[in-house]
Amino acid sequence: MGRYLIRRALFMILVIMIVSFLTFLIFVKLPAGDPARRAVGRTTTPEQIENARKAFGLDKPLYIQYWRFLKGFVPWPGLWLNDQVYFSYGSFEPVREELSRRIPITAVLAIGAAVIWLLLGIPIGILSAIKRGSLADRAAMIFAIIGVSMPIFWLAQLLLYTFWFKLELLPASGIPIGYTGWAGALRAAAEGRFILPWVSLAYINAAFYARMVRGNLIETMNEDYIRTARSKGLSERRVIYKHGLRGALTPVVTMLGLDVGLLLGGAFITETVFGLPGIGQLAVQAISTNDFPTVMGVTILGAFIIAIANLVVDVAYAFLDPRVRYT
Amino acid sequence: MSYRLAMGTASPIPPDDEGERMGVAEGHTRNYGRFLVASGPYMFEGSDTMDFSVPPKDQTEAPGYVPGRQIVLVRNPSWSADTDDLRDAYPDRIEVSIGGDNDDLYNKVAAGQLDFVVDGAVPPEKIREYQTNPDLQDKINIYASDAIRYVSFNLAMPPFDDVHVRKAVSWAFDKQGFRQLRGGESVGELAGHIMVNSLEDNILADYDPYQTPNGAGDPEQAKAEMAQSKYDTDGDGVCDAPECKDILTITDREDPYPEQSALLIQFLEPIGLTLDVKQLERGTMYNKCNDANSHHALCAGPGWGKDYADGITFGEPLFSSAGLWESCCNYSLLGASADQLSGWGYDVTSVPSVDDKVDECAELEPGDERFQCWAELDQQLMEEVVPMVPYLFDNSVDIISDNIQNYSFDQFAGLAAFDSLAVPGNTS
Repeated sequence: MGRYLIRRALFMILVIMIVSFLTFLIFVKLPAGDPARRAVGRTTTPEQIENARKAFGLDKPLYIQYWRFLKGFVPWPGLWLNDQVYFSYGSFEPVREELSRRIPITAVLAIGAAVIWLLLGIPIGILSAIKRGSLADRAAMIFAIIGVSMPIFWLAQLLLYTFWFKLELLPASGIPIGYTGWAGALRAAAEGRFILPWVSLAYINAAFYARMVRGNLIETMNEDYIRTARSKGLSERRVIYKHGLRGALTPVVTMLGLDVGLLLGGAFITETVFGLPGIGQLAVQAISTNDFPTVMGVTILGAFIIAIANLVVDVAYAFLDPRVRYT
Repeated sequence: MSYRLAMGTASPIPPDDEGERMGVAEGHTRNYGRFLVASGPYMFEGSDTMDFSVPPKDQTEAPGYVPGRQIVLVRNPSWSADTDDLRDAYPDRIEVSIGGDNDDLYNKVAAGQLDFVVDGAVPPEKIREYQTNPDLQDKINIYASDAIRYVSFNLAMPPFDDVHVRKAVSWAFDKQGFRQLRGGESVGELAGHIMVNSLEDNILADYDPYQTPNGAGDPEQAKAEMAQSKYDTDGDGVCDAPECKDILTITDREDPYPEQSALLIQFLEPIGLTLDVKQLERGTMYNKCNDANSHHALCAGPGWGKDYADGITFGEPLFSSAGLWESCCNYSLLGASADQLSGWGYDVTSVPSVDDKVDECAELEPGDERFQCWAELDQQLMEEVVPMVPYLFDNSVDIISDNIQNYSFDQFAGLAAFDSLAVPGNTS
């Protein structure tokens, strides 16, 4: 297991470097606009633009610019997303500060939505598998088909318009001023401000998970060891929940880790529609304004989170499935 | 100079105890915005906790301004109403939350959860609702914002290096259609010339050298103009040279610009012009329109507003060589030299210049003579140079919540005057 972890860690570093290099290339080779020009404003002189370019380090050769960004990947004080390089062209503040302010919002959104979609998706998937072909199964699959087909931005807008604007049953979008950090994010959640964003995210994922659990459980219930368990006289309930579900849920754990990791990198659409000041909203703003240091910071953070989630899930798999062994 | 100092972006910086050149801004080259010392009626909340006696790196920012997130303004105890007969300063506190979906924000205004949206675009259906509902009519405010919307020509790109082609487009232009796609009459007045009327003391208020019935364009007049162009080889009023096809056009990808592009294609087709439209993110669009190396022929998405109440804020950046790339925002390349054009890769070796006229107007003292000079420049541009087709004098359209008891428009800034938006309980 130790060698496996080291190999995975090295692979993770390689992946992050490839992602960062591609991101850097996109912003350098396909310029959507000169950040130095944007920074100095509308009426300016070539000299002012050149000064801004020097201040941002954009006058240096490309490999030097990339090297400066690369140093920010090292998770070490003074290096990790350092202020010298990772300084937003748009908001003129360190990217690290901006990210640390927004992470609680994204985390509460991602984790809350994950809890809901698991509580919804798994039972629906189980019911659908057990009652295969019945009315309940068909209803569950219609629920699933609608969920995987519906665009999230449409669902989010619909929920907001219906449950807040027309029925006034739930709070409006956004986080009030003064709600900062983890305390602010949790307070907002307690006031119900995350209900609609959670439901928007959760429904689409619950639908997917319901289909996945249904398919996995149906397959598992046809295994020999399930037949053996039944022939030993175990109750059907015990056969399903103790023996069948364990095998069926193992892939769910894998997907859950990846999905939550992806969301922690920023639920772009949900945060934008609901005005949630999280990582996703920051990424959208940064891309729109060609704020390269912020885009790079968000990309690196997202890549780290997803890579770590991937690793955790793979290790967890070994504990869940005794047949899996890593060397 | 006095105009520039009156702008919101101009603010005095107090000296520091060390006598540093930049005063309390010393050491905050990249982020002085978070350490601003207010001189007006309001300051960032928490500004009183800032301590400039410690080294810059140890100073803490005013918590009231969090970039990309929020601005909270509270009363500045150092300001006295007795010294300021201009600003009402009604609200005790102004909270600005940054971000959100445009339509959702205006729903919040309608529901009373927000008082006002800054720099938003009131959805057309909301405009109609507020204008037709007697209970809401006093909640919609429409003022001239002193800005224009226009389509600019690159005078170094064929076929727009020929003034007859530019004039033909001006005649064919369906300004009414463009306005309708933006939301109808309330969004502004059809533009007959370039500089907004307030900058010319309304000298050209009724002037429109390309006036057409209902502002819908005149195809016949357009053809008559096109027939005089070298790109109409048979003189039938239809541009038939190869340069008339697939004209590179840049526009904004947000509504209503894609729909406007479709309309542009429609009314240019009868005079033989076909377009290759590229829809870009707004900032990218402006960059590409400004970049002389992009070789676009038409820029269909820009707007331009005054920085302060003088014609130089239009004349210099839009039409003089001082506004050429890499500066901003002379998209037409007026005044470019032969060397510049060649350096940017153009075959065209000369373009018109109005530098002399801009310089002449800039030298005049504020007053009637200066207004007249800018008006003459405007006429010269419209009739002889034709660097753009202005189609709309933009309005600022605001809707406010029931909470707002007083609304005032700051014509200088082209925005609502925040200090005059009174709500119940204000103490000023």
